[in-house]
Amino acid sequence: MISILVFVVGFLSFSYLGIKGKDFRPGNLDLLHEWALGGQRFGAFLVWFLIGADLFTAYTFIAVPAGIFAKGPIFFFAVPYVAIGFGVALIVMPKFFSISKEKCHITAVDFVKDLYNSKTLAILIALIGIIAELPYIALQMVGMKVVLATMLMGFKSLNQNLANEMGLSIAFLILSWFTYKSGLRGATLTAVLKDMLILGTVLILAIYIPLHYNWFYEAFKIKNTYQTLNPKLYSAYISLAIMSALALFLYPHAITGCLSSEDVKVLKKSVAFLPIYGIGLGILAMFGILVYEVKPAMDMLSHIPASARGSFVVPILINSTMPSFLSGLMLLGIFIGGLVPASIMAIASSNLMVNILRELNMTNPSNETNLAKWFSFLFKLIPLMLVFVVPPTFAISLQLLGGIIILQTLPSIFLGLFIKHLNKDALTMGLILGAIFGIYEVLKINHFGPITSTLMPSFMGPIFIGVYALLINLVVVILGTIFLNIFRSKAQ
Amino acid sequence: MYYVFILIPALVYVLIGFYNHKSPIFFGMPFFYWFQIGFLVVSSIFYFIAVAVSKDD
Repeated sequence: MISILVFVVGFLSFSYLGIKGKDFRPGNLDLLHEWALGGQRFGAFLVWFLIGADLFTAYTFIAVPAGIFAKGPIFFFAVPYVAIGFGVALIVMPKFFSISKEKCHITAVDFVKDLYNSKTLAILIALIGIIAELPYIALQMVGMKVVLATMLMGFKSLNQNLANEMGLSIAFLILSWFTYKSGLRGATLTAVLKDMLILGTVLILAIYIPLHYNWFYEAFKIKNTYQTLNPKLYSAYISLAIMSALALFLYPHAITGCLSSEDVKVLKKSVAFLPIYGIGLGILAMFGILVYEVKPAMDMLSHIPASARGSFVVPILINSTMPSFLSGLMLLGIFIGGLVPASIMAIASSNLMVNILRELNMTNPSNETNLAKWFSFLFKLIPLMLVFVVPPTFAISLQLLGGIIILQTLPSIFLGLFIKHLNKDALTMGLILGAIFGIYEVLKINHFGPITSTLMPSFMGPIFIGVYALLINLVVVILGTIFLNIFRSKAQ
Repeated sequence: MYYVFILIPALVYVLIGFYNHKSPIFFGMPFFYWFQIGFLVVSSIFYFIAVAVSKDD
């Protein structure tokens, strides 16, 4: 009971901070870049937190521990993914930032439109961004649902499903309200609070549990197959890490975080220190194994259907080992850990929607900000419906697919920074073929059922489907550019 | 040329064979796990060097 009280009081203060966010380094919130990028006045510390906040999402404390819990070390690829991802960012984002700032771009689509001047390509990239982002938002809501379910587990007499859905809906309304009111400013301030809570949680759990339960010895004795990675999976491990790293900064919300920085030096500094942030992710991943030696947690987990068990690892670990006051605070951290990224992602998606409408000549500068605000509401409502209607595994399936299709925007966005005169029609064809191949291959590997695997066989062993999809895309872009440029110069 | 400092961490992570071992064990954690977590700090140092070097560009 105390834990729920702490959770509710904490959540209300958090919401207050989010709404007060609009007065933080104030600006005119009727301007799109003020609402969507916080006026581009964030310093190194805040940018570090804001980009880092994209890292500590439900993916980190629900999906990764769940993967390790069920399948072992292969899911530890999340650690090299984070390290390499920020390396990629350090190569591409400063350049991207400088160009975008000079030309007042708000999204990657603005950049693509300016560089290639193709309506088709701009709309396609915006659509892919939104399609990839929606299941990511849904995944955040799955995480929030798991936290509520954990807290309600003790109340046998209650209609738990109803209470859970009501709780989620209330949180959704508050989130929408403060996203609408304060835009990225609200999300940033709350991101700081959320990450303090999560870092605190990770530290306390990482010290308390090993001390009380014989370090990691017992857990690795119970799961001794988890000690090292099966060499047959090297190709899968590396391809998943590298491709996810390449995709990390193609996601619209990551780009939003970068563009909110006040200048390029600030951006570089924050990105260089971001792998440190990943230590939290690594420790959270370890909880997926550690939980095996924590008997009270395993007892609670045994009441949950096997297919969903993994998602509950971290919330139940908290609930079963911590005193109720702390457990309320920690669960709040994880809950808003889903909520804040959901807000940032919805802002990013709605900016892309404005891009699409602009290409279709359906906006004018005076109503764009208002449109973006309303779309940010819609882009939280759709995932919420998704979470209520379809089983959580489906949201995760869609998110895996999203990772493959977002990779297909790499040639247009990243390559365009370094190679001039890429042909826009070649880019469009490459993007379409890569995406179709990726989606078809994933569906085929999973026998057109729920998506559990994104690996396909190759001469090196199992490999992430995104590799082949991106290769096809790149070959089409390069050959197409050469061929079309020769064709054009002959015609002249 | 500061890209070199960015590529080194990626290269180390790619060579799984070098760190995919049980020992040395650290508080019960196999080398595979604690090495990769620890190397995040090293990666950050490399990236920071890259940023410092790139100032002239």
